[in-house]
Amino acid sequence: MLRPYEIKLQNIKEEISKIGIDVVNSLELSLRALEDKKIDDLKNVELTEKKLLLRSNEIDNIIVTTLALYSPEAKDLRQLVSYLKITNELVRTGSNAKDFAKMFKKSYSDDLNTNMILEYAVPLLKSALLSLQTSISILDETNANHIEEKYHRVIVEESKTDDLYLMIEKNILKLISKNLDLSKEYFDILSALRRLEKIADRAVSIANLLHFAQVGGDMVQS
Amino acid sequence: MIENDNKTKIAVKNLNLYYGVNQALFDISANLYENKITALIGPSGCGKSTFLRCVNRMNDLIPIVKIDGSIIIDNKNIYDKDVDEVSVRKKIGMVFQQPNPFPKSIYDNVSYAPLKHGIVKKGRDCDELVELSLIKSGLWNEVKDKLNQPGTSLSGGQQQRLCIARTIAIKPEVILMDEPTSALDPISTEKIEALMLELKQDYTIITVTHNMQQAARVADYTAFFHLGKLIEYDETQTIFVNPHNKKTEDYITGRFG
Amino acid sequence: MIKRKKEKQNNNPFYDSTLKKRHASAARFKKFTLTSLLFSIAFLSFFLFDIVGKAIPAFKVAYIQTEVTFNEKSLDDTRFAVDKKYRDLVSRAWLRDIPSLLKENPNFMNTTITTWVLADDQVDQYLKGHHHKLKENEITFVENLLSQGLIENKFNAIFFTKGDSKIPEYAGLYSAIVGSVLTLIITMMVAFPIGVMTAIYLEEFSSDNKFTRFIEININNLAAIPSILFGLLGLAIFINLFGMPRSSPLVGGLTLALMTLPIIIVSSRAALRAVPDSIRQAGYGLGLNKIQVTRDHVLPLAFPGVLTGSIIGLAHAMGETAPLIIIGMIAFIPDAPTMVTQAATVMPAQLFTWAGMPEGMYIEKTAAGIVVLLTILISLNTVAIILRKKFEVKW
Repeated sequence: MLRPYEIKLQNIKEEISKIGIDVVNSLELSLRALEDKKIDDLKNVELTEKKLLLRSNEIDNIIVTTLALYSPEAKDLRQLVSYLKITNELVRTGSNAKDFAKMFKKSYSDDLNTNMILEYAVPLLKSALLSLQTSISILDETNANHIEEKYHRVIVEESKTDDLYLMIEKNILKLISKNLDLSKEYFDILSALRRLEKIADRAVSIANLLHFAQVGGDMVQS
Repeated sequence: MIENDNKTKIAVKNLNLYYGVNQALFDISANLYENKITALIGPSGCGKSTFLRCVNRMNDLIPIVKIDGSIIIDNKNIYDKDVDEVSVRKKIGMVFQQPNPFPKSIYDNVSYAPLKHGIVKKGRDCDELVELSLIKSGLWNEVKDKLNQPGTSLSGGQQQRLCIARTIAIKPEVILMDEPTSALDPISTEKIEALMLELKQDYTIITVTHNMQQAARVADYTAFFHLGKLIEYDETQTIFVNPHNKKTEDYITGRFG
Repeated sequence: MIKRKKEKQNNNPFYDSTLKKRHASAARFKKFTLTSLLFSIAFLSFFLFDIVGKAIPAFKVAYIQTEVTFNEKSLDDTRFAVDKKYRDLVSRAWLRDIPSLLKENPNFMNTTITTWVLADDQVDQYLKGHHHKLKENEITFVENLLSQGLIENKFNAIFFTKGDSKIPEYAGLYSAIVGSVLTLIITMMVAFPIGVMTAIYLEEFSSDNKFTRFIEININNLAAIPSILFGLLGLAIFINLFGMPRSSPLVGGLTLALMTLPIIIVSSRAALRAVPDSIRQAGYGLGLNKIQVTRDHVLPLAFPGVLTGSIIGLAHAMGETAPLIIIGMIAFIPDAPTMVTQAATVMPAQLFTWAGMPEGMYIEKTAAGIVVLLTILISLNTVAIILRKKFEVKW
């Protein structure tokens, strides 16, 4: 492999990793805020879609150039194509994380049944965070077995979020039927929590793409 | 022309070339940059090899060739009357498509020209120059124990690297490569490409290749020739990602040539 | 029959009905070419057999053991050195050599020694069973001597150490060999450098225009000119115009040089042309000039071909008779020349002369001469092949 090619590949991977880590960090911040019951801290989540888009466009252009100049094949080709799709997913994930923080903070108030909410929101957030973190960590993984393990873990966490979300959805709907005047706030909380579920979905998508890059087969968007 | 901080090593101005009555190169003008790899691409018969051979005046060996225009290297037009073509070729070396080592020993292959030009005297100086040239072309470890064996006993890829060592032994400033890897297998090709990337730190490299992907991999600048004209000359990235000229695009995408 | 054919067609996807005829035609052709080869071999073998058969007797010659008297009388007239009975049976030429024998061994003076004396050619021919002119009593006497063991066949050193002679038993090839060698040395010294340099100029330095093409056509034509015309040329220019000595190796060598020149030029050009152009390109690419490229790179590679061509030209020249006859090398030369300006003869001319002599012994001497000439030519060609193989550079 020629040196300039190696350098470019390394660069692309690192930049994608950085975006992923930024999103993960914001989720960790949110988790700490929820665990410490300091919901105000959610305003510290500093992700803007605009900035993320800028970075992902840069990475996309580097990927296009690399494809044009080095005509990669097999694993290299699969990797680059996966990265191209992952940048998209990461921007949306960042968007989702930001939306969650904003909406949750806006609608949270002591008028609501905060215990119940937090009882489900925290594990939901934890799972979403873990799934995204594990997914991003597959980027640096080279061992095929580890990749399989992490892939499965992501799927497991994602199904957890599905279950948790269903449960909290049921409970909140019950609460809404009891307190119709707080329905808007409850709906907004639900919306915010829905974002977390989306994050887990995207984590699965990312893991899928990285798995395809490693193992091959057909590319399947989930 | 491209705006950049690069230093121009070879300035080609309005170069026209005729084989008897047939014109082969039409008004070529370009600035080729120092310590960069410039690739010349284009379909067969487009004039890229002819152009390359103008840079070191190898076309002067063909009697019916007539050349108009100028090629200015280090502020001197090499086609001026007071410039001896032999001295031009000392500064501008050439590596050919078919590896063509002399039927002498490996040592003699590398040392012959420097001794004749008086760059070194026989003895330790010469030995050091041979060793240095072979190290730089990545061949030293493979041949250091058999310097007396004939150059033709090496494999194709090794022979080509020997030819490169022979060329850099006369301490040129520019190295011209005429399809240096088209006669080699993929592994040897990769070795030569990696070597080119290393050599560009010390030399200016102009290479003709009919393999576009090779140009994409190694060249900093690419020039596209078609039917004797220079169609587009730009950074490789631009040529391969968004070329300005439609002919260039058609060639790159394989729609002709 | 048809059914079987159809079966063949059905079972065998590779069946082709025209093949049988084609294979038969090919086999016939093969037989025909083989027959031609065998015919050529038979012809050659017959020739070789015949010549060698005729030549072998020449390498042994009869000697008679008798008394030879060394005294004043015998030195005066050497016929008196032997007994009267032997006088006609012993070689007159050998007797004439007695004074020089005495010079080597002065102590022989006034003594009589028993030694082997060369027999007369008629005795030798009689012993070998060929046509002879011995009388009855001579035959009886010879048979008597034979039964007493006083006649022996010894190796014919005279053939290789003495020059031509009117006396058959004393005729040898030596002066012709020396003449040939001197002539060919001159030929090579003149033809080789001029030929190779011409080839180098025509191939490397001259430009391709009408004039050089004209020269090239004419050189090729020269190679096909009948050799006797070169003899006339030599006569007119070297002997008449320059006044060089007639029938000398100098003139012979120069004439043969003119004849060999086209061959050397053509083969050298082919050898130079065979050097791949990539070597020259590599040389020029390194900033070498024409002399350096040609002398140090092209010439060494072309050298085996040049050498082979020259040796073949040399072998060719060695067997040339016609031009040398015209310039006079057919004269009777008993003594070997010591300088290139002295009169000499060459081997083929000598054989030509011997073939016309009446005495029977010359027949076997001619055949022996042919064998010697053939041996030399074959060795030269073998040397050419060995040298070519040795210096061949593998690509």
